[in-house]
Amino acid sequence: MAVQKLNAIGLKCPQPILKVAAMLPQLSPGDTLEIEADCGSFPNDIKAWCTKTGKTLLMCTTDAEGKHSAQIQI
Amino acid sequence: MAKMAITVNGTEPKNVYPPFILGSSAAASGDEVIIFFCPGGAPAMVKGALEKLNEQAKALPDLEELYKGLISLGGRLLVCELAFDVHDFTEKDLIEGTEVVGATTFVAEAQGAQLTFSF
Repeated sequence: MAVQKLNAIGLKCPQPILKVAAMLPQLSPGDTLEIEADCGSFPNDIKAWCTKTGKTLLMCTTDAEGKHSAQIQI
Repeated sequence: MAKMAITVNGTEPKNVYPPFILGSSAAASGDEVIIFFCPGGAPAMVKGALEKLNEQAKALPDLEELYKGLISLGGRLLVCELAFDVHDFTEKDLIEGTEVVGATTFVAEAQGAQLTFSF
């Protein structure tokens, strides 16, 4: 049950999601991936991606500066 | 998962960014993606063309990154063989990962696509 991190700050849609997909082969079921991104569409996109791919979106928050932090379980 | 089939018939940013943005998004979600470059769009698959487009559209995502991501996730880039009759480049000039096919092959491969776009 490893926890891995992905820094997608500065990347524009759909690159953060592409990075998440590219990391999947390195992750095992039950692992958690923590992602940081500042692309405006990221909260909706990660939610849609999790729904479609059957992953669990544990949380997704946005701070005052517009930085999004999401946790997904593989 | 779905299948997405896209045709590209131009080389301007408005023709080339949407297939890579939509295609890479779909591939990242597990969809099968086939992009077919008609002769009008095929020059965008010549080595160096994506870099030039990146320079023209700096506000948009990095096109080469989208291309690499799309290919690594199994997306397919098909180039119409008629392009070589229309333009002065050959298969050797195309970027890595492209496949040269005829229209009949694309039509057969696109069969059953639930999502289709044309740019």
